[in-house]
Amino acid sequence: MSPRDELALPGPAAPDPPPAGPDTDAIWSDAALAAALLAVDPAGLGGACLRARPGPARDAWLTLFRGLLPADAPVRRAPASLSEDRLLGGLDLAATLSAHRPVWSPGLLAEADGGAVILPMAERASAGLVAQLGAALDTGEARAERDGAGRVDPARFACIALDEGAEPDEAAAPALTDRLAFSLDLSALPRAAVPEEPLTDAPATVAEIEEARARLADLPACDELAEALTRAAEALGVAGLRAPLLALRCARAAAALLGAEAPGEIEAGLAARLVLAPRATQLPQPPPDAAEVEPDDPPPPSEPPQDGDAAETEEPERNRDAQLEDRVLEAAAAALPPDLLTRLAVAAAARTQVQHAGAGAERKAPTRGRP
Amino acid sequence: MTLAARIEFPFAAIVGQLEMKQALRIAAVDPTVGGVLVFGDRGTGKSTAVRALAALLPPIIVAPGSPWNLPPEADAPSETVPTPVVDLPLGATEDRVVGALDLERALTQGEKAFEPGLLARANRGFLYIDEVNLLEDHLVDLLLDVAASGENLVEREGLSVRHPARFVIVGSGNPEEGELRPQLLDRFGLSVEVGSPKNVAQRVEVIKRRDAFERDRHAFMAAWDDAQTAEREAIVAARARLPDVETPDATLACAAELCLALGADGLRGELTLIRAARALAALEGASQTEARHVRAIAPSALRHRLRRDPLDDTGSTARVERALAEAEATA
Repeated sequence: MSPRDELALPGPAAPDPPPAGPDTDAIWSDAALAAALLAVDPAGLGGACLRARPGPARDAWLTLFRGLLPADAPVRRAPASLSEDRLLGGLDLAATLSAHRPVWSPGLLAEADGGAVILPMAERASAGLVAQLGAALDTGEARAERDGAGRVDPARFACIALDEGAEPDEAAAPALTDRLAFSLDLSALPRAAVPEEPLTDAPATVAEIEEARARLADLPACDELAEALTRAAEALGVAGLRAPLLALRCARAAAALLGAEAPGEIEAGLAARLVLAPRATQLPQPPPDAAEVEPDDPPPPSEPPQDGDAAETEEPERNRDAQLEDRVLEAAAAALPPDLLTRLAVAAAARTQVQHAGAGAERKAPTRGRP
Repeated sequence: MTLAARIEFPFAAIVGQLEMKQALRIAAVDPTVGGVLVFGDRGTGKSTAVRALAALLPPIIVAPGSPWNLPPEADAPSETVPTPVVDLPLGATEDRVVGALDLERALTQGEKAFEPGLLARANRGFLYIDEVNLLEDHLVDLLLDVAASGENLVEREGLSVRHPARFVIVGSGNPEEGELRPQLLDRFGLSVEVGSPKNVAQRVEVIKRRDAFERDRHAFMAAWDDAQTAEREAIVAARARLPDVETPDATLACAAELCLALGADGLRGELTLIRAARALAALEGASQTEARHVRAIAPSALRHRLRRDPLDDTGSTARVERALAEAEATA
């Protein structure tokens, strides 16, 4: 019994979290699954954006993720105020002067090769830091041209961006989150739903993840899956082409983890739920030749009408593709957040704000810029 | 320190993005056009396309061991090297860009020697700047000076060196993340705006190709080898044809009228327009630059040179197209 309980002092007023139930359990289990998939393919999936205040939920997830990575995988923390020479590497002055030749000290990105970089306070990261991380995530290399040396070091890592924003419009930079496969919102998770020992109930053991990594390279190509995921992303209004690619890699990682021969419907549905649904900007429109027309009403989103079963088409191929696409879309639509429309309205308003507010906004000259 | 050669996604395998690919081809055919600026949202393949150009360009002949890729003297030995495409990475410091004291030699042998920087390596080639709108202002000024004069003058750390530095600047960036000064904008010859393909079939094709590339790079490159060779030969042929392409006065008048109608600042717009139109004619195999070439390349050449008009907030591309339509209506 802590002293606070004895004296029955009121704690800081906090919003009542929802009671632990199937919905909140689903939030944690999806997050745990994302951690396992990231451990299978950290560089390919890019990473995750974890939205949560510092607390037990966030710590539990990080413990789980670190536990699932191989024991020798480096995990580095990149504070928002990191200087560029610490990030990219620089000349080790003392060693240089004593050895009488240039001695390079590798930067954080090169040190994290094969592991992960954790970025706390991601919503306050400067544009330069975001750009450097983005470049390293895209190319898998850390390029430095500074301090009298030019170097290229391999830097394939997953970036875990810890988004500590309180207001809905404080969010990590879209340039960074676009490259991270998963977007996990643990802010509404009640204390009861967070497991005490995250690793005991993990979706996979470390050994299974090792096997999955070995299996990953041997999975065959899956063109119908690529097509279904791209069309689903289109239907959900997901901008850009990175999202379907990340979803495809997520489906592969899931197939490797589940021991499947090739990624199929289950893995595609999983990828759509975890990767595409958080980026959705519109509810999927029902197809024009649907048998029943259901009204598109705002939260909670209704499932799109079952098209694949009803339509009898001549070509079984086309039918099968359409069924796969519909299943994928259903899985994504079922996972759409209920307050999608309100969030979109907030995001649209936030886009007009300055990116790095709070740093003492700089004023650029009024004659700058394109007409 | 040598930079490991990366296998880049082949230029010929890029889906769509016709305006951007055309602008890059024109810059490859005629370097005096002045460089390309590629603006677009994230995930639209800007960096991919610009890096793909490196693999496409034909090799150049240099004097062996020349630090700034000088052509060999008559009857001197020569070697063939790939066209240099130098990346200007984020966080590059001025000493690495311009060139500075060779630290290793100074420390080990106590000698003062010049170590060439990125600008020296880019001579007779391309300089690629990713996230050009995040570039530091003093680096921007430096690049402006060198791009204007074609020469790099180094006065630092007790060194005084001058060497040729003629290159084509290619920049890519996301306009949402920051804006460029008009002086730097004007230095770029052509500008292109890219977006994700609107057509679902194209999007699916992009994903499929990217996935195939990542799973087995060598096989993918082998599959696209013929198309890449065809592209390269087209550029080489256009370069050979370029000096013979005539530009009649009617075409010059058309370009001048267009620039006047749009109120583009300075004469650089017209010069770029004519040079780009001529390169386009060479690529198409025409013997003369015609008004249709000028009209085709006008949006690329002019959209970033227009002055802000507080009374007109239509986008610059729309203004150029409106002026083109008016010119055609009156012609």
